[in-house]
Amino acid sequence: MAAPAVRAAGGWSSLVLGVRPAVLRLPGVTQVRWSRYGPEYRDPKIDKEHYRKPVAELTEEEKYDRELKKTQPIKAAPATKTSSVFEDPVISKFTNMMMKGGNKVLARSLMTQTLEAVKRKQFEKYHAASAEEQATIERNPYTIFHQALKNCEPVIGLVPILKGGHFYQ
Amino acid sequence: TLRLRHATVVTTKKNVAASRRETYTQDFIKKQIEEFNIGKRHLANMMGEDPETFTQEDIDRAIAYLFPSGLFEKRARPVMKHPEQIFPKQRAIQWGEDGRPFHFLFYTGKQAYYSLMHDIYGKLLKIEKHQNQLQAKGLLPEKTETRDLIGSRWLIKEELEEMLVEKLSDQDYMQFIRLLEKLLTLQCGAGEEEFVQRFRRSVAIQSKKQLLEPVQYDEQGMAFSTSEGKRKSAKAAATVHERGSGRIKINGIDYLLYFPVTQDREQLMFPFHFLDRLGKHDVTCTVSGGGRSAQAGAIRLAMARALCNFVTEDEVEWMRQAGLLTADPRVRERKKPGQEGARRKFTWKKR
Repeated sequence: MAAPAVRAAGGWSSLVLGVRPAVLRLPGVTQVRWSRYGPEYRDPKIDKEHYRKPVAELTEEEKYDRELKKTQPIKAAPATKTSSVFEDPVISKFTNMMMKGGNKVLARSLMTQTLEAVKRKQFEKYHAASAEEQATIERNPYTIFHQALKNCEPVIGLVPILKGGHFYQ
Repeated sequence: TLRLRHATVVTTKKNVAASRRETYTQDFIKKQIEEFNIGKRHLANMMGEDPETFTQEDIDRAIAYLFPSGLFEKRARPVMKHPEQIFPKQRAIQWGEDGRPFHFLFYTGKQAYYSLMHDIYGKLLKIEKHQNQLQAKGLLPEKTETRDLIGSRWLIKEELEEMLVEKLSDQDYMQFIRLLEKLLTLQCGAGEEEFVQRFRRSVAIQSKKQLLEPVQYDEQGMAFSTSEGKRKSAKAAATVHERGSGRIKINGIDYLLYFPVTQDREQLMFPFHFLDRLGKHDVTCTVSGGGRSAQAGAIRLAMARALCNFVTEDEVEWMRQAGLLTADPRVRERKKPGQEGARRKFTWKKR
C-alpha cells in the first residue's frame, strides 16, 4: 500500500523497490525502502519445463540468459510458491488478499471450500442436464474462477485531462 | 537582586593539524615499503618459515597469532599490510616550479578522468574511420565476435575512483560506461580489446559455490547424506536416504501429523517434485525453534541441500535458480521507538 519512498534529487523519479540504501542505482535518487537481499539478487524462476528443455532447442538469447543467470545470486523461493501442478498464482494472490491478520490457514480453507462448493454445484447441474448441455457445462472450478475475474475487469479506464482549468474524466 | 553566577569559560583549540589531509611524500612511502619488507622477513624468521615465500595470508596468520585481539571490529585489530594498501593513494604535485601545470587538462579539475575519456573517444573515432574506409572499399568483415561478456563486469564507481585517484560524480561514471559500451559494439582490434579489458573485472564464476557434504554410507550399504537448514530462527537437520519409499519423519513424527497445514506439506514436497523424485527417497529430520511455516522452510532447505549429493550438477544449478538452495535471510524487523510496530506509526493527531 505504501509507495516506495524515493527522494528525487535530480529530476529522476522511478519506482525502485527492494534496494539497499548503500547502492545508488540511479544518480541523484536515494532509496529509503530496503530489503534483506542485496540489489544483485534475482528472483527465482520455478518452472520445471523451462529447465528440462534440451540445449538444442534454445535460441541464442536464451543461451545467453542461461549463462548470465549462472553468475547471478538468486533469492530464496517464498513459502507460498511450489512447483506443484495444483498451484495457481491467481488463486494464491486471491487467498493472500482475502487473508486477515496473517491467518493464512483460514483464508486458504475458505478458498478451498469455495472451490469445492462451486465444483459440487456444477456437478449437480451436470448430472441433471441432458447430453447436449453436458458438453457446455464447465466443471473445473479454476477456469470458472479465472473467467469470473476476467468478467469483473474494467472495460474502460478514465484519465483526468486538464482543459480550461477544469479536470474532465 | 543580582546574583553572581560563576560561569567557567572553556577554550578548546581546534585541531588544525589533524583536519588538514595528511600528505605523504614519496620518500616517506618508499621508506615505509622498505621497512615493511624487512619486517616481513623478520616475521618469517620468527615464525620459522621461509622468508622468500612468505605471502600476505601467512603474514595475517602470524599477526593474529602473535597479537591476539578480542575486539569485535575487524578493522580495529592489528594489521600488517603493504603500505600501498594502507596509505591512500595521493597524486604528486601537478605543476612545475613556474606554476604551470604539466597536464593540458589540469584546469578541468578531473584531469585523469577527462584525459581517459579523451583517449577512449579518440580510439572510437579512429575505429569508425577505419570501418568507414573498409566499407567504402567493400571489405567489411563479417561479425564473428563472441566476446565473453558474461564472465566479467564493468568497474564500479569506487573502483574507477581508486584507479584514477579522483572523485567522480555518478553522471561522469555513467558517461564513461556508455562510451565503453559503444566501443564494444564496434569491432576493434587486439590492442583496443586489451585496453577495454583493463576496465573489466571478472565476476565470481557461477555463484553455485555450494558446500557439498560428503555422502555417508551406513550399514546395509545404503547411501545417505545429512545437511542443515534454517529459516527465521528454526533450525533443521535432515538425513536423506538414497533409496526409500518417500516417507518423511520429523522429530520421530510422521509428516502428515506434524504439519496438518497443506502449505507446509507442499513445501516439504517441493524439492522432490522439482527433481521428479517424489517417492524415491526416505527422509528423517529434526527441527526446533521458529513457527510452523519457518520449520517447514528450514526442512525444505535442509532437504534440498542433502539432495545435491544424489543429483547431477545441472540439476543442482536448476535448484539454485529455482531458489531452493538459498537460505532466506528475512527475519523479523525490530520495533522502533516512537512507532507502534516495525513500520506502523502511531495515529497522527492534528492537535
